[in-house]
Amino acid sequence: MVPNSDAVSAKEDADSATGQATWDPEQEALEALDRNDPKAALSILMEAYGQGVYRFIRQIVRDESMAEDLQQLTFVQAFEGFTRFNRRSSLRTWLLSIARHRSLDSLKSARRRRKRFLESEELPEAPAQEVRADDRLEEQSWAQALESCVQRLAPEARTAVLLRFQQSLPYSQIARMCGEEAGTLRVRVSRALPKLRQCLEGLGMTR
Amino acid sequence: MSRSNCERFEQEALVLLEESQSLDSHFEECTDCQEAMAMYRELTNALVDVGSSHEPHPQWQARVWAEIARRHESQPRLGWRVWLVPLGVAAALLMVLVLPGLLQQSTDPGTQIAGGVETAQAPGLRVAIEPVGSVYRSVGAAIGDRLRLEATTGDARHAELRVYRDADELVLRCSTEAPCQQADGKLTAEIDFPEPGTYQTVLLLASSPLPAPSGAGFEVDLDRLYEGEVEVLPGDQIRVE
Repeated sequence: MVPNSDAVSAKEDADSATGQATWDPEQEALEALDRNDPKAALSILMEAYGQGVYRFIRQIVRDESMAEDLQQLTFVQAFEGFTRFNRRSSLRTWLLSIARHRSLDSLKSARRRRKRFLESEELPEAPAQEVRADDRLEEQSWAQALESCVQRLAPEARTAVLLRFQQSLPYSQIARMCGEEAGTLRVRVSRALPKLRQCLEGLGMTR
Repeated sequence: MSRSNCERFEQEALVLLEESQSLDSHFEECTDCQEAMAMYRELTNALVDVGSSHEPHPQWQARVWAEIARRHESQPRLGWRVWLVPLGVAAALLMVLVLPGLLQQSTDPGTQIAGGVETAQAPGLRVAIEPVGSVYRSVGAAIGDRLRLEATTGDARHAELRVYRDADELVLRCSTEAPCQQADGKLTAEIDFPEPGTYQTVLLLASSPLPAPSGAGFEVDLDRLYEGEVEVLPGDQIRVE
């Protein structure tokens, strides 16, 4: 089984013809599915959304190797699940939903594994990045500090913040993806933002 | 990122902004709140690019294709049977259009379903939909219609019927206990469609005990089933309006 390069070529042709990005990966992938070409659809989705999905997963699971595995698993399961895609959401939202499920499952599994070897009842998540006080001003850039602070949020809050801002999804789609009310998610995000501010202050990051 | 004295912005305005609601005049007049607003605007703008310095593995796409190929090769039993689903549906539709009288008959005299629409399935699992009120319906289903599953399990030591709704909710799971029944080498079950959605029927066969559902939906369960070398025979997807 080899990847289908026609989909990628179509993108390049469109870009060169117009001199600007006019590529509509959603439409092209759906058309590929309509003509029963799941390989082409997957190629389009990987090209269009692979990087964004990876960065989303990376921020949730905080582990490079795990994020790589989960990114790949997301697209494998998307390929296997094309026949079940009901088009009630965009393909991108659907991919992020798969990615979210896999990422949170992995966090739960990792937590159970750690609990098996440690006796403490209340087991905090593994720290994202340990930042020493003397590192704060010299080695941590603001962007790195923000990334670290996002990773310190509780998983559900972290996911909501990422979907809202990193992935720029509307609350209606986030709510459907998470199976929660949009109002609940808005409150969760609005409560997470001060925590990010406090974390950044704690790292000595002032603007 | 200094903290202002007035805390109203954090306590009140953030959620109002997320709800796209307007703010009262205080937030325009309060210096602390104005500073907080600017700070949070910068913060949320920065969140758009959080993690942007990370790139996926350069060979990640190749790995995806390799895994798809590996999974395809490890499921030989499913290969040729996949074609029986669309062929069976085509045959069923042909019967509906040309020979309507045959709908009252069953290929298996012991499982006649009057007034029902039967969809042919891959060997091992047969699915039939009995419309509520015996109203004839050529395709699809409605809430309250009865879904009947009949599986032949062959020599599998462990067998299970499952039905998922919208790939998330497991609405049926049974083997030897209710609502399943076992008799004469067949495993049968019935449910009435409770809600709209897309229902996926599945027969699972294995020589060892089957993995329990994850509670995280069909896709996660599929992963576990394939890892456990379970034979997965999917039935039709049934759209319930």
